[in-house]
Amino acid sequence: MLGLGLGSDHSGAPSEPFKLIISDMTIGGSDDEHALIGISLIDSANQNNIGTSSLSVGDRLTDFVAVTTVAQRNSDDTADLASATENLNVYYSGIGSLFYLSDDDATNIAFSNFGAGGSATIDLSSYGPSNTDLTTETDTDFRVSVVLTKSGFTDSDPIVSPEAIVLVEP
Amino acid sequence: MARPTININFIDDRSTSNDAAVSSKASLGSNTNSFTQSSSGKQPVFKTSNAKLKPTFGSCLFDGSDVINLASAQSLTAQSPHTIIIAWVDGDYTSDTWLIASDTNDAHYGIDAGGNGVLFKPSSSRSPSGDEVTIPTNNTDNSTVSYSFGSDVEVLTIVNVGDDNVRFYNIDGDLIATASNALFDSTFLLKSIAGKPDGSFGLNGSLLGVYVFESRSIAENKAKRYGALFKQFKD
Repeated sequence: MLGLGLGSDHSGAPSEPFKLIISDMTIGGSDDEHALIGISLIDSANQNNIGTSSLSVGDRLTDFVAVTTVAQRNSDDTADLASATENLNVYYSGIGSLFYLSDDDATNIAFSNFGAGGSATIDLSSYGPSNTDLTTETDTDFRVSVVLTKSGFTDSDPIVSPEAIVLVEP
Repeated sequence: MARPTININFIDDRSTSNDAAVSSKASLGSNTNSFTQSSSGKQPVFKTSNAKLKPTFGSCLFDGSDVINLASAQSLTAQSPHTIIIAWVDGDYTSDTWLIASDTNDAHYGIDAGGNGVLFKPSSSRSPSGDEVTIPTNNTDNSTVSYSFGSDVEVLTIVNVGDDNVRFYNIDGDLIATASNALFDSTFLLKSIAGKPDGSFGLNGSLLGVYVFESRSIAENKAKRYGALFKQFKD
């Protein structure tokens, strides 16, 4: 996705849109219906372009969207049993380059709400535009793929779970 | 749905303050009681960060004499399977470490001093068949891989099949030990986490979480999934 040039070059010449880069992702949460997905940015250039120094804990990044596909995997982690994609909002954790994803849309969310079973965690029992229930198996194993986007920036490459992980029913 | 009986979760705790003494920790499983510790000298300490974990993931620091206990032990039924998953970091195995224990017949699961074996004592007063067994993990006599526990993030998945057999898996879901004994399927009255109920044989390290499933014997591929859950939190 290309838009207006927003690179760090201020010479007046058109510059390439800054490419967002996600370096890491974690999937947490104490239950198999509500997940906490965290993403980290690779370096200070990413952080500077996003403006993390001006953010407070729990602030929503304006106009950023994490296009997030969650797939329920089979027991051998060889196939999807179900999947859905949703545009999630991106919130600053308050620490370094770590951000949390949420289907909430408040301008600020308290840090504690990203804790175990918190209100800002992502509901996997009703996920995506079709409200897909991704928690139908006995022990639900998931893989996640995230692409970070914003108008005027180049989309990040997808970051994908290296293997399925299990989330535990509370 | 597979809901654990006991669900102790420090890794996703974003409410407790750093360095707060932990006097009580509620189980998020079907057993909603709390593991508690009224003696200040035996209370572990919550940490909001750990150098070996990614940011914002919590842990609970035990100093080798700390322990948290249920007021009433959780009974894991005889001749019925149960699975225990326990994760920790910064483990120091200078002494035997009892990870899960009972106040009946000193039953326990743990790590052998030195980190090269696992421990299991069933709930029995008989000897020698009810004595503690040490199963070496640093060879393949009873496993598919040789493994030693260290100070990095560790996950031990214990599957007591309920038919006299017990299996142990590591963070990678590898089978690291097996054992069999006619008394291994005795009722296990789970009382304490990270030590003997009096605080001896305690974990010297930081606990991340504990899951205990009744009536469940998980397979190797599922042990791998639980290992992956905690593995991703490693920095």
